[in-house]
Amino acid sequence: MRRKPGTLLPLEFDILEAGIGLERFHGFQLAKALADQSGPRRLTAHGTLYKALQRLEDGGLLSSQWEDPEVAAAEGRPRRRLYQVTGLGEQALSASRASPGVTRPRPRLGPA
Amino acid sequence: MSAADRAAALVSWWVATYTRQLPGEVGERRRAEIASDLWEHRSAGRQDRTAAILVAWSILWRMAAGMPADLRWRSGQLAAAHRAPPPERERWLLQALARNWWLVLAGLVGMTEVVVGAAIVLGAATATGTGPTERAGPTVGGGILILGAGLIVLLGILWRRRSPNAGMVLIVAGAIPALLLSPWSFPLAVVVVAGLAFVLTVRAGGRDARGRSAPQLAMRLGSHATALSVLYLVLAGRVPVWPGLALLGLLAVGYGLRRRDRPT
Repeated sequence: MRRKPGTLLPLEFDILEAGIGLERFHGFQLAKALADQSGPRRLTAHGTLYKALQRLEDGGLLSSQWEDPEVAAAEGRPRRRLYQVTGLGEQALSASRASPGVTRPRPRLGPA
Repeated sequence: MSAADRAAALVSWWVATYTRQLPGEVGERRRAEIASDLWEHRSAGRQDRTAAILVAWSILWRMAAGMPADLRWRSGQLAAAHRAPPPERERWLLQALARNWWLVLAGLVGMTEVVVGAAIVLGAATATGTGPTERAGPTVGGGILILGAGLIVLLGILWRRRSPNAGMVLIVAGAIPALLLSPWSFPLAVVVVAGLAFVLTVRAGGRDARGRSAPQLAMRLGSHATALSVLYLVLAGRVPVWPGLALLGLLAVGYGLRRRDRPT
């Protein structure tokens, strides 16, 4: 989907909004939150979700790091990549909410 | 193995497939993130007591719906990897080549003249069996001339470090006989033209022998002259089309290297 510079795609808007509520989150947790946020719906597709996360991180709206491997090993699961909305991400979200004419989130998110 | 596990295995195979040939860290991160996602998805299914077949269906749907994005992401990552700046050593080599490519040509001219000149002299000597004779005299003389010209070119290349101006004069003088060798050597006129332009620019008040303006003008004139002469030779049927086009391709690479070397 093409966008105007400085605007958020609907999925990006949803991710930032959900991310602020979750503080630190991993991919599946976010997919669950996005699904719960707008009623019963499918989880966001892998490719769509992780591509959007990387795009937001490249733009400085999210930051991420791998969790401590010892924590993951203690719980017997793979390491999680933990994301966090940055100050820039919060600003972008606020601007997107305030500015008229910017792309608004759709009621239901499909694969982008 | 449950249906959800089989679906997860299929997704892992798909992820391994589309992350193949990507830069190590990029592919590894995506594989690790999806592996974590798959684990969490199945774990959540178990906690919610969702039927394994429904979890499997959800996993497969997420894979299938995300495939176009996966492929676009892969394509973007590959393109970014190709755009990445080359390693320091490679960049240094490219810059050195971009600055000195015509000197490489001069070296080729000099060595060609040496080899051809030596071959003419030796050929004449072999033909007579006992050495140069009266009949072979002019041929041997020509060979010696070409051989000497080649040595002058090579000497000029070495001399440039001490005196760029004098070195260029030697290169230009030594390269002139190469023009007469064959139509193939004509494009090598770049060396002559470039050297001449350099000398003239310096004499006309170009900054200095090591200044940038003179070599830049020399390179520009020389490369344009070479491109035009190759084009002429191809169009006039003096050389076969494909080798001519290959030469033009080499020149295009030279242009590209110069543009790449240009400060932004």
